[in-house]
Amino acid sequence: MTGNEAYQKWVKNPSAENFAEMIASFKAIEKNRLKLSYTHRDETLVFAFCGSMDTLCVAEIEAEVMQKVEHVKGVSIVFDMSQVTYVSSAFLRLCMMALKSVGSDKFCLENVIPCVKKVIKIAGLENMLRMTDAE
Amino acid sequence: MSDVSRMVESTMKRACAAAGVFTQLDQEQTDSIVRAVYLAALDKRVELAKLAAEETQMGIWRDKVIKNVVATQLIYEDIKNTKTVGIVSDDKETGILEIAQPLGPVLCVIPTTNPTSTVIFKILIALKTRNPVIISPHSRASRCSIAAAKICYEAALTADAPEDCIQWLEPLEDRDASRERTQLFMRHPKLALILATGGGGLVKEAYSSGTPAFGVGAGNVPVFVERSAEIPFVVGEIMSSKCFDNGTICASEQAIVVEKIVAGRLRAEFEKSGARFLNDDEALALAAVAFDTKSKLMNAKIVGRPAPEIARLAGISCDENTTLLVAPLKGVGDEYPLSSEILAPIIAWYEVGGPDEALNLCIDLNYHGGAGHTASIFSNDEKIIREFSSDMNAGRIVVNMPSSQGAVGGIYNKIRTSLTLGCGSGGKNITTDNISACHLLNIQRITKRRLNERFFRFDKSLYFDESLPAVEIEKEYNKNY
Repeated sequence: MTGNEAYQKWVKNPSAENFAEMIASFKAIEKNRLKLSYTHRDETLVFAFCGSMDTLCVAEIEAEVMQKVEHVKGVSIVFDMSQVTYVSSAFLRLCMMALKSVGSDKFCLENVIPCVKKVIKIAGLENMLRMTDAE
Repeated sequence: MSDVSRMVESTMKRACAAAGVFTQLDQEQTDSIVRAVYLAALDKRVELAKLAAEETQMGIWRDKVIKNVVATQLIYEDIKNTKTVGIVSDDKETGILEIAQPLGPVLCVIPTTNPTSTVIFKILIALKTRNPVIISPHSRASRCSIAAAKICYEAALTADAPEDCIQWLEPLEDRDASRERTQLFMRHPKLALILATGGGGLVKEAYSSGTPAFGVGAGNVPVFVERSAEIPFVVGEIMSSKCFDNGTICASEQAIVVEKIVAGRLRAEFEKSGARFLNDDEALALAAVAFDTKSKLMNAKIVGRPAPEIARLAGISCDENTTLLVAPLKGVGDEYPLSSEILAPIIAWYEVGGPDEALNLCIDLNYHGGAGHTASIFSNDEKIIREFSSDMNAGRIVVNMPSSQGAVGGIYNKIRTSLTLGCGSGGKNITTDNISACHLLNIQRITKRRLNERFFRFDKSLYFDESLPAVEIEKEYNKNY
């Protein structure tokens, strides 16, 4: 449920339960802001993720990321991983979805820290998910 | 690529992703997953036991409840405090620091005799060591095995385990496709380990696949009842073991070897406890229905069935309260089918003159298809116990206790609790250990510099002097000055 939906629900029925749900959704939005930011670098759209990319977090940001990836077709996509400390299966799936959407030559992971690189290796995805260091 | 190959690749890809994600979990996170799975499976112990008994038509559901308790509570108690993530030991003196790493995806082959307890057991030890599992159920027990796996998986996810950390193989109608699928999994380059609990053919296939495997061997457990044993006690222990789940545990007693001097008392106690002793003709009739002499294997139709039903199949009159069929035999080997392993409430009976004859007979039984597994003795003579143990080729020698429960560990003794019992080289296995979490780790050893002073002090030129005998080199090497 988005923050706005939660707000509308509380307006219609101002119960304590709906109030708590609304506050939780606002907190989730705040959390997501900290987890994900975007920048442009020439013809490249850079998604900078931060912290633990666990299942819940990915569920919250997946739609937004994929919407942007699909919106800018033809543009290269970089996932900046320098601040990512944990990746879940859901995040690996998000990477694969982004890769499929833009093509392997236009997608890469940047600044992957060693423990995450190991995950990608063990998952057998190193040949698909190109990993580079920022110039 | 065939449908089967595609299915195998897709399952392995998901397992590998789970393996990767698993490496990031710390000990606390891992332990909370194991606890969640253990509690969920323990909650469903009765439901799963009834499902297993109904689907396989083997054993007794109440005993299967106990098996599920062993696979959950006792296994959990055994592994819960074991360090399985990161640094597991740091010896300042030797300068060796050990780090535990997971293996990777594990294929778990599940037998029909313990179809839910083995699933839970293997899942718990694999999750404890951060290894994803693929459950391969027996075709005759797929429904209950998959039900157990699903319960464990749902609980694991609630504790934030990686997605696909537990997968299972749905049954295939086509037997050839099923076999092809098993082989493809076993030979998959990304598979780290096979935990193969099952028949000899399957274990051999696992070993031949090129993937590391922990297999099991067949059992043919002799139990020597020596003259110093407490007879009524012996009978209670053997009955509680051999009749447990209608004899489906591979560590259950298969033959009683008793000294003549106490044989009469032992027989009388057995008869009082519901055992039915057969005459020669009845033993022959029983052998004909219990054992297939062509394949040299027990007949699957009588595995885990109650004694009166097996007796009826053999045309033997029998009281409905009979719990065990006892067949006095004159020898061991192919010409005496009931001297082989039969996972049913059937046991062979031998009377012997003394300890030497008993030991010789137990050796014959032990090597008749049960090498490396388990042997049992009831005695209060420490010398005889030692002699018996040294003569047996068995990973476990259980003394004065029920063999089934004794070999599994954790109830009657302090041996590691397990539902996969290694049988060493005798059973063509790599270990005689009771397999558990400690076997599912790669241990990395970080070794700090600690000089071997004797080697550094030793004049190396002496090694190149061909005239110098070995004993002189040894003397010089060990000189203390």
